[in-house]
Amino acid sequence: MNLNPLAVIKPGLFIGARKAPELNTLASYLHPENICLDVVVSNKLELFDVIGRHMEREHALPQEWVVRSLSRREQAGSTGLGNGVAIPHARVKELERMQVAYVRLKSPIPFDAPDGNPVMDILVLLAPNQANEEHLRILADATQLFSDRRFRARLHQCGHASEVKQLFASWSQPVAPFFSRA
Amino acid sequence: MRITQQKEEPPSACNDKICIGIALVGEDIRVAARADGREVAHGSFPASPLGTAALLCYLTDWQAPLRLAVATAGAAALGLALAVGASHDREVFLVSAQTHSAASDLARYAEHAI
Repeated sequence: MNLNPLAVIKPGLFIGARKAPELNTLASYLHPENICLDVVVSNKLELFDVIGRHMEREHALPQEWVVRSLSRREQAGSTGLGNGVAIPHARVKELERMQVAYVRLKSPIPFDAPDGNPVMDILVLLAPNQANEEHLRILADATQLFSDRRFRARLHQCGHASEVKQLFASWSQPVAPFFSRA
Repeated sequence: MRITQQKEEPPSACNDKICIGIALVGEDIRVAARADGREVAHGSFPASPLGTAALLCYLTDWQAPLRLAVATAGAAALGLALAVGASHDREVFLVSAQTHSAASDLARYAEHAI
């Protein structure tokens, strides 16, 4: 019998130990085919049309559905967050799985953001009605990432969808200490 | 908006509304949501203008009457309580952070408070 107490304590259980970085929920849902760079639109409606066409082409979601869902949610309150970022999103009853897209605009457009600034970084989230947990996690992940000025600057330097995907997946976020996680 | 001060013992359950617990913990706004008597989501936003805007977006997403319990410990938490309650279909309960400081507990409190 091994009487050394340290021998039975796993390294990750030391107080203050941190979890190894893991792929954030947002990155796991964002696929390169849903990353569109330097898109040219002049207002929200044109943007939603572009998103609707993309979702129809890539995922066979009816364009009209997507545009209507995003527009309806936007009428309830702007999804512009400030710092040039907006997260237009909607719950779609008929949707089978979460769809996440990133759209970087060529020029910023007005979005009724709280800081009054136009937006350039758009993260689109279409969630099935019952996906409450993922919906909140993706919103939370996106807000953590886009709050970081360095992340936004790096994002604007990316030239290809694969680079954007890699950046979303690799950008380190603060991880709460092991014992304090809910 | 209706703001109600904390009661000692929440007397009965209210399962027909979405109940949200919100706590400012360090640099995070922690959120938990309950519906139909069970927790359906929890997460956290940064305690920044962007994080507050995202939280307000999240609350709007429910498109349903909300009961919110916000842990109050300082002016920032009070400001947050006012911001989240600025809609006619929301009831906001201010709960002492010493009584309930975890978002999940606050959501449960909102579910039970009258």
